Amino acid sequence: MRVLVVEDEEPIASAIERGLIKLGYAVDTAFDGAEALEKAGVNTYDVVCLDLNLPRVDGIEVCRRLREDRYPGGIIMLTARSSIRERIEGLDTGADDYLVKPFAFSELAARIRAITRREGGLREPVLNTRGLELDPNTNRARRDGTEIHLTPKEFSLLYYLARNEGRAVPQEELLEHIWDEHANPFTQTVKVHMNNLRRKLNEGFGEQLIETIRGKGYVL
Amino acid sequence: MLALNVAARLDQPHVLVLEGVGVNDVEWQPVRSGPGQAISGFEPVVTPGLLLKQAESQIYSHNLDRLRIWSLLAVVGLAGASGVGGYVLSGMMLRPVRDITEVASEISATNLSRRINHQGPDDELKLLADTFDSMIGRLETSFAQQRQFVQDASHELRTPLAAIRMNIEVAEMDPDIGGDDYRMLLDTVKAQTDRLTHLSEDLLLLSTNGHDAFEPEPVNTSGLIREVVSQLEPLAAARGIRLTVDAIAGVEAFARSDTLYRCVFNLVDNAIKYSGERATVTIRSRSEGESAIIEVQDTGHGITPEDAAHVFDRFYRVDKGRSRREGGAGLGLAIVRELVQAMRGDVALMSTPGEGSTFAIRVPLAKYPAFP
Repeated sequence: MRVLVVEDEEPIASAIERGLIKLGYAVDTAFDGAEALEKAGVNTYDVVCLDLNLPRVDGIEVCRRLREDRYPGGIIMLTARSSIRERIEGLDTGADDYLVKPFAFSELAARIRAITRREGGLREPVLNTRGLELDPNTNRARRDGTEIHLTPKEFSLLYYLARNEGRAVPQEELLEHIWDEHANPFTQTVKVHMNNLRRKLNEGFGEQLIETIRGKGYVL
Repeated sequence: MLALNVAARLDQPHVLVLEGVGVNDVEWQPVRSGPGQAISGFEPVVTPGLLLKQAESQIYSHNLDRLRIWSLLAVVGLAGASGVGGYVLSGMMLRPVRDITEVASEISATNLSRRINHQGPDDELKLLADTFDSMIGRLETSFAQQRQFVQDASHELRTPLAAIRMNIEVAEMDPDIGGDDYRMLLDTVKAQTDRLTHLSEDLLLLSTNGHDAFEPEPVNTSGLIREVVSQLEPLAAARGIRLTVDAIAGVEAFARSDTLYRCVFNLVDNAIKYSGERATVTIRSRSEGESAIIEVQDTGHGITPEDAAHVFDRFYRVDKGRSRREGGAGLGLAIVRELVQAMRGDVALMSTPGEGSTFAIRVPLAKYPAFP
């Protein structure tokens, strides 16, 4: 999952960024509205956390333009102002959710999970498929009831593949959704993480879960 | 029958004359004789004296009775009519007063939209009602501003609180957090509490201004400017800004020295923070007419006319991103204006985009303390 955090308050932006990275998200930050639109134009985000009170282009305008440009992901608005009129305006402009500052980081994380579940057409918070049990709330993975210890990045990879079960996911798409803008597309990052993930998944189990389809990508 | 006849005769003057003569019990009647029936003499008419007296007294008492009844009726009628008339009239006259009372009793801090809207002649009551309406209008505006101020203030307070909370929570997520992370967390919390302290001081200043008794004293402006400059010199040096002073000695303002210090400090502090590197900030003081003038001029980016119209508004920021990084809440210039006005002065801005801005504080001179 890749998230764009748009927030002009540096201490808040960096805390959200660090927190989400710890949870296994790929995170980019923008400090004003224009920068946010620029990044959203270049990269693919699953969720945008958008402060309303932004320099240059304000949050409502960013939201409107994102939706005009057919940005398909989720938008969570963050603001210190909490009037009902503003909430309605925010939601009507295309936001999916709304959080009033100061909010708990854990609540933001839960709302991001809820939105990404909705985007994937999922209702169940825990994903069960092919003997795998993936809980994005805790980043815990089990195979046939046995816990597998994965790093946040490995979990994100597996979760992404599980959500797109049966479809070959190209390496570029994984790079887009699971790594942030600082990842170098020409390195072997995806391959290295994928090898580690496979090794951990197969330890003690016979069947190979993730297959590689040459020229197409990885499939679960 | 007799009574009525006599009563009719009462109206006839000659009978009255006869009575006036007072010849007891004798009535004289003219005697007519001859072909022309001329009056030839008088002969007495003998009537029973007792009867006449009785008739007379009956006539008097009857008339008095009638008079009494009519008078009583008239008095009662008049009293009733004047009571009803007075009631109706006073009700009409006092209706506006009642309306005013009613509206006044309905008004509270949360319901200031009520008005009397008195329709009627241009009299004292109309004037009273209109004055009352305009007073409620002013109160409504003032309450709305106060509410907006509290909202803005709470918004400004929430942001540093959110930063503190978020940083603590994210640090807590990491079970094996190291010393460096802790140090970073503490630095953030410290910076944000500094910001909260600064903000609460500013808010307090804005809310108490005007309530303190204004006791002006002569203030030496050039001394005050030198104090401000020595205080802000390190900040200016760190930003690569040159501070110069051009103060005429002996200009004494009639103000409060700590308040005026705060105003000049805010202007210079602003000029240092928003003028950009290698700018020069010049602080001047002089007298002009009956006023002392302190000017803070910078060679920064200048301010557009749209922004200039709002720079003295509370919570207004010209460059939001920059202001945030400086930890400003957009209160510095609002404080300057309100404090200067409380000292019976004013503050003005002249700016040319691209060339720089000049803020000028004008307060009464100590020699002319009666400046309006």
